[in-house]
Order: sequence, then structure tokens, then C-alpha cells
Amino acid sequence: MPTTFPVSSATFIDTAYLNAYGARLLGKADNISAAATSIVQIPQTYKHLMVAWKAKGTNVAAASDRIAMRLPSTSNIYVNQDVHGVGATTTAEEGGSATQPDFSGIVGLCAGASGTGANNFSVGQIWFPNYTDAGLTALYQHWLAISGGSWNSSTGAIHAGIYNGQYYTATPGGLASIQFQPYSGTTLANFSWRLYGMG
Amino acid sequence: MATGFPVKPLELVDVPWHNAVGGFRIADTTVVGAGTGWTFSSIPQTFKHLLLLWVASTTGTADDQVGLRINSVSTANYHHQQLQGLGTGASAGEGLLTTFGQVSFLPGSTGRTDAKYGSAGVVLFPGYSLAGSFPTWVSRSDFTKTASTGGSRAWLYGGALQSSAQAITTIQLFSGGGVNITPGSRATLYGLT
Repeated sequence: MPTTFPVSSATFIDTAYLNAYGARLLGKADNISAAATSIVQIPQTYKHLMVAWKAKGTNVAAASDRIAMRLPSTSNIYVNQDVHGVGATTTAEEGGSATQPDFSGIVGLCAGASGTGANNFSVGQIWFPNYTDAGLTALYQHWLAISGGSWNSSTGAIHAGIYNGQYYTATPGGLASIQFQPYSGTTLANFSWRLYGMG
Repeated sequence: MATGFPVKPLELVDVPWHNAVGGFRIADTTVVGAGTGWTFSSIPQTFKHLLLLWVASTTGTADDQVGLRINSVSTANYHHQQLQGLGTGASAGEGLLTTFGQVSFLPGSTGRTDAKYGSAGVVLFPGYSLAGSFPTWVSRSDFTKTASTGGSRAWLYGGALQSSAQAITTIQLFSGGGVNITPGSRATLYGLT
């Protein structure tokens, strides 16, 4: 079971000024170490969503691991495309599987067990434009992610990249939950997040 | 010695008056009929930065540039640099002396396996109200035409209008080919304080 965070009971919802202005902090949590972390009960009263995150890594037996996202389907309805740099190498990928589509969206990289320095974290930001119409009347749900970070102080252990995609669910309704988990590992460690609604 | 800029702890923004220092929605438009894009004019000069979020597709058959014009300038003074991910290929390219800036592409219907596939992007205009520099933007966007290998793209763009130094008062986001944007497409402009 993922660790879940209902947005309606999160630290802050500024209902008095709902929709009146730009960015609103809708929820937050710090240093969650779990197989998956879910943000649920996302209000459907904003125009766009933005998530900022920070994570230490996963327990996958590798230097690095992808951070995966589910919205919430576990079916292969995620189309990924990224371009990122690690050391002197530029790489483009279509997610973590050999073929499109994938069973999760990819939003960045973080350290794996073999690459984790004590204070090395990865960070990222994800936009979900027009999230209340998750692609159902006109266009599918998009995400636009950027990620950077390090897993140790060696050459080839720092990364930066953009990670975009579309989620072509056939289920009507807005984006009500976002779940984060390691792509290959079993635990996403020290995961902190902030969810903002753009009014 | 670096100049320090103390910021408020996060908890301090969790009160109603934080609205004064966050961001403001300037305009939000969802396409409902025929139209080739959006124009945001009379942009207030009271913010520090501008943020433009958009999601769109095209009614045309061909893939189409997403164009950007600043202050309605249509002379060939736009320049851009892009970084692209397409399948397993990473590439870079530039456009010089064009009549509009480029921030993405929209997937045309030819070869598009689902009409709900489209593109989305976020464009940041840092220091847009500073009159002593060329209008400059940084953007990232996506594109999906099929759910198969090679069917989607990821882009990072940077660009500028290099005709004359000026503040940004009008932004046009539009189909470079002059084709209608699909109804349901949306663009929102925010001012960041």
C-alpha cells in the first residue's frame, strides 16, 4: 500500500482566496520513505497543477533509478519521452521499457542503492496543464517535468534532464491523484513534495 | 562575498496575505471555436516574471510549429535554440532571423493515431518588464503523435527577439502554419511577483 496524503486534510488550503489568484500551496510532506507515495483528493478547482519534489533515492541495486508516476492507472497508457545528460553523455529515452507505451510515467532520476552518498538528493518540478480535463473532451493529460541531482561526487554521478509525456486514460474525469514510486527499486527514500494549484 | 537574500519559511506563505507575494493569473482562455492561437495584450508591467502554460493540438494535417511573437513584432529578428529528445536520439538545433519564435510543434492529423494527442508547454519570461534587454524566454514542451516508439518528443527551448531592447507588453502564441487550434486547447498567463 502506498503512503497516501489526502490533499483536503493537508496543511493548507486557502479556501478564502480559492481561484482568486495564481499559485496556492495545496499540500506537502517531508522525508517519506515508502514503496509509493500518493497525493490524493486533489481539488478540481484550479486550472493547472505543479509538483515540486526532492528524493534521496531508491534501494535498487544500481547507481541510479528512475522516478515513476501513476495518475493513477497501472495500465500501459503512459507515453514517455525524455532527454537528459549524465556526465558527458546525452541520452534520449522513451521511459524505462523497451517499447512504448509504458506502465508509468517517468519524471526524473534519483540515486540507487549503490550510488547513494549521504547527502546526495535529486529534485524536480512537474507541471500538469489543464488537469481537470485529463484529456477527455479534447486532449489527453500531459506532464512536463524537469529533474536534476546527484548520487555521489564522482564523474558521471550528476544528472539533468527534461521528462515529458501523456497519459491517455479513457476514464472521464480530472486528475484526482498522483502516485510516486521508484521505477526499478522497491522503496523511494526521503521523498518530500509540495503540490501547488494554479488558480 | 555573496549577497544574501533571506526567504520566508514556507509556513509563512500559508496565510491569506501570501496572495500578495505569490503569483497572479492575468488571463486564461480555452479555445471554443475557430482560431489560430492566443493574444495576450496590455500585459501589466507590475510583475517580476511571466509564466505561460498551454496545451493544444491542431486541426491541420501537417505537424505545425507553435509560434511566439512579442509585442506584435513580425520582422525576421527572432532566434531560438532547441534541445530535442526523439526516441533514443538526442539532438540540438537553432533557428536564426525568423519572423516568429518557436516553442514547440503540434502533431498534425496525418499519422496521428488518436485525435486527443497533442502538445503542451510552459514558457517563462524572466524579467519581462525590463526595457533594457531583448525579450527572452525559456520553454519546455512535449509532443505525442502515436503511442509507439518514436511517436513522441521532448523539447527544451531558449530564444529571444533581437530587434531592439524592450519590455514585453503583448504575447502571441499561435500556429506557425496559420491552421486552427483544436477546441479545448487552453493557454493561461500568470504574473509572478
